[in-house]
Amino acid sequence: MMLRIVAAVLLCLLSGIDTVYAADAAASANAVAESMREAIFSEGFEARLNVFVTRASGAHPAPLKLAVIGQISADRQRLVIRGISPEAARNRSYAVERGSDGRIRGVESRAAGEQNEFDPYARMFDSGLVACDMLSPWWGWPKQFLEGMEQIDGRDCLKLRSMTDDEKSPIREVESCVDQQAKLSLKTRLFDSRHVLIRATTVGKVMRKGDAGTMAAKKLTIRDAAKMLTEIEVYAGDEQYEISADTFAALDKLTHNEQQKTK
Amino acid sequence: MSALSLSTPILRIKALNLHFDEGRIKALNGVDLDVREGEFVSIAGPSGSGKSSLLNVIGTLDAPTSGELVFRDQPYSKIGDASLFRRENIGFIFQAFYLIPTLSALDNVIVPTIGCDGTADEYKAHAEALLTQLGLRDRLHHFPGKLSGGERQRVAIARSLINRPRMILADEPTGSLDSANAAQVLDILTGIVKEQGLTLIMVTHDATVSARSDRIIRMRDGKIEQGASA
Amino acid sequence: MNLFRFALDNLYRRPARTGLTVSAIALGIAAVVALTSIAWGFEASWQKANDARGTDLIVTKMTSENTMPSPFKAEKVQQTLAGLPHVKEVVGLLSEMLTVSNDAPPVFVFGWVYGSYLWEHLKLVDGRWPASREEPVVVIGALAAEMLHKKTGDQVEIEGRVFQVAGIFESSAVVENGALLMTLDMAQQVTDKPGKVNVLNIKMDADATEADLRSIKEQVKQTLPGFVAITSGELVSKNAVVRISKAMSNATILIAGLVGALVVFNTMLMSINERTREIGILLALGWQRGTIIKLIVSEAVILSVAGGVVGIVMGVGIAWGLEHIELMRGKIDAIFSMPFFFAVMGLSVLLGICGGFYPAFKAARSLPSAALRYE
Repeated sequence: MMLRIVAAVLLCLLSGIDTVYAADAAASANAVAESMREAIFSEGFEARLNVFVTRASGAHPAPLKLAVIGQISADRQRLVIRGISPEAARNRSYAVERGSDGRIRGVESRAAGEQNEFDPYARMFDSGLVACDMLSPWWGWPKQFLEGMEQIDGRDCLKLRSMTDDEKSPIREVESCVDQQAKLSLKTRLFDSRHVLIRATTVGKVMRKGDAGTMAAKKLTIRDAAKMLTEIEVYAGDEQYEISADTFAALDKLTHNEQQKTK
Repeated sequence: MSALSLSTPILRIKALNLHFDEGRIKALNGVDLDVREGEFVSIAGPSGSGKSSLLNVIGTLDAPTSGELVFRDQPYSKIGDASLFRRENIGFIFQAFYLIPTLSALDNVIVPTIGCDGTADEYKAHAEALLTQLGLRDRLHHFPGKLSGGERQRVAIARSLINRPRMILADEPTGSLDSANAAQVLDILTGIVKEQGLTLIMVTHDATVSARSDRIIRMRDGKIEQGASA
Repeated sequence: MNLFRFALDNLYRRPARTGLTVSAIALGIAAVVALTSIAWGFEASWQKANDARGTDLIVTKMTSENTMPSPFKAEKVQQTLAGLPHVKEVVGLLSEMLTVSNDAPPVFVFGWVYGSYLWEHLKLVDGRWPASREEPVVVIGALAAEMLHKKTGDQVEIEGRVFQVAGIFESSAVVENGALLMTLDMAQQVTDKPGKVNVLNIKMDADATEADLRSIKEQVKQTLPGFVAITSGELVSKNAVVRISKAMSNATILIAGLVGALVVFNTMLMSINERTREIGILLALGWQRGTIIKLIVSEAVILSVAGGVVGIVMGVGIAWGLEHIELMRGKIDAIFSMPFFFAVMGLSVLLGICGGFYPAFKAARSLPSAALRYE
């Protein structure tokens, strides 16, 4: 009898420790996710990219040049991805926004002012680039778990699993490996609700950001479930890009239209 | 009593020991020997009797374990630079000639003068004169590979004389030669030694060679059995 | 016959080993020569470009370590600078490394203020200069024209915009010869950086002294937080690429030095082991230990000097070859000088002395009788 009581007390104590430990781990996982979310805050930035696509068949379409312009704050994240070359990509751009409600919306603009809503989880420019990935919404998801340390190309990184129950999101689970000093995820794997891999992004080269101590990806690779390989190289950038009134005009128009509809 | 026995000793050796392997091997075991200036001493004895060891110690190539050696009133123990002592006083002749194969006869003779104070021309003239005296006038620029055994040993004799030593130490100089060449080399060597009044200590197995010496020393088991004094 | 000839002869009679050792040293020295000349040339070329423009001071963002400093809004800074004493002209410059042809590696695209002094040092060899601030034309450096296979009247596409080639120019700086040049306004438009520059170039008036330059540097530090005024030399030496290339050349010098000394060391150690009896004979013949040391060290030095000479020739050849391959053309301009070659030869001699000393010492210490008995 005595032995049973002692065992029960011990079990109670142990489960208590476990609960405390789990609570601590979740808190620090959320802290890491929060710091990653904050790391990309910017009043305006521009990055120009060379994008090389290798399709599953092995075919290489013409290399793309794109400009990504963004404005990221805690309650609003906006991006414009604009085609520079070749001819087919020029005058084509995608604008994407994530508001404080967590909803992600997108607008595709083509030549001659033609604008349509587009799925922010869909591919852009027939490449592996997906607008939603660029916003990394998973850093704001409530479920974050730390899963230990890993080394990628000699750099230590912290494994983090982010999960959401949001049924509207095609991405339900994300595995990241975060270099905490650089505030950069060196490897990101996105899964759907059945834990099937959708895409994996790996950072190749990194570069120091101009004024901060953090790093940004200089080269990265996206490999998706359809076996399309997209290699991205940042060849120019401006961390103090001046966002003009018409930079996000397409998104403003969309908001305006939506407001009109609700009225 | 010959004139030689009256002349002063060039080399005095007393109670000389040369031990190896912590004293287990006694290459020389209490050797006493006097050699007079201008004397031709031959050392005979069976293999391993200590002939070459004695020559090496006299030539400062080996340091004795104990004993006293005096060269012209200078104790060996007081010699500061053994190399300099050898260069100024001793000429070596080896059984296997030890010529440098890629140098001509003339250059082989000049080799011991490298690092000396004289001029290159001076040494070259001296080397040419020596080789001419040794009958190699038309072989000056031949390489050792193109010379006969006798000729090679004559080049080695010239090399031993280039620094004008007082004493020649020859370790079986005719050991690698046929009898005709051996006789010729011996004639030349003894002729020059006599002409220049040099002291010659020669290790030999050959009785006909030792017969021509002023004194024969016989060694066995690191000791002199016979001929220790003139 | 003297010591030098004897040393030479010893090397000559082992041609395979001598050849291999000389080749190994030569490779190391070649790497040193090529990398160092390119690192210095890279720095000199950038400095030459800045000096040729007649720029006295450059104002840029303090933390810029990239090939070109990061862009900033020019207007206010420019106004402040223009008001400083002895400042004659303040002109902005925007530069980016861009791909303008899929068949050629990226080239520098410069945007210079239309009509400013920056253009004066260039020599137009064909065509004309841009006619206005907003004319969508480029003039291209002679080397860039050759690399991109472009001539006056052709078109180039830069960041999705088509520009006509108005002319071809030549500059004393290879960086400019390999670049495309347009007005600052056009460069700002095409790179989507309205009103921005990478650096501001200050030209002082004729009365300005060194003290005035120092005073301007100080005033910039105090009145324009985040900015720094430096001379072209200082800017270039801060440049990350210059620093990396210099660090690489220093590392190569260190590695090549160590490997070279080890190769000489190994060769000489093998050589004296093979020649144990010969060294014994020389000692028996009256050679002093110092002479033995001199002989072995001389052989080592001859090996390393021969390696040095061959290495210099190879290094110059490698640098020349790199200058002419498509990927590097217009970006490097290796510089060589007699003092540099003497320094490299000095390094070679040092390798010989370092690598040869221990084997020489070991040989000199050998006991002649033991050496003579050695089989």
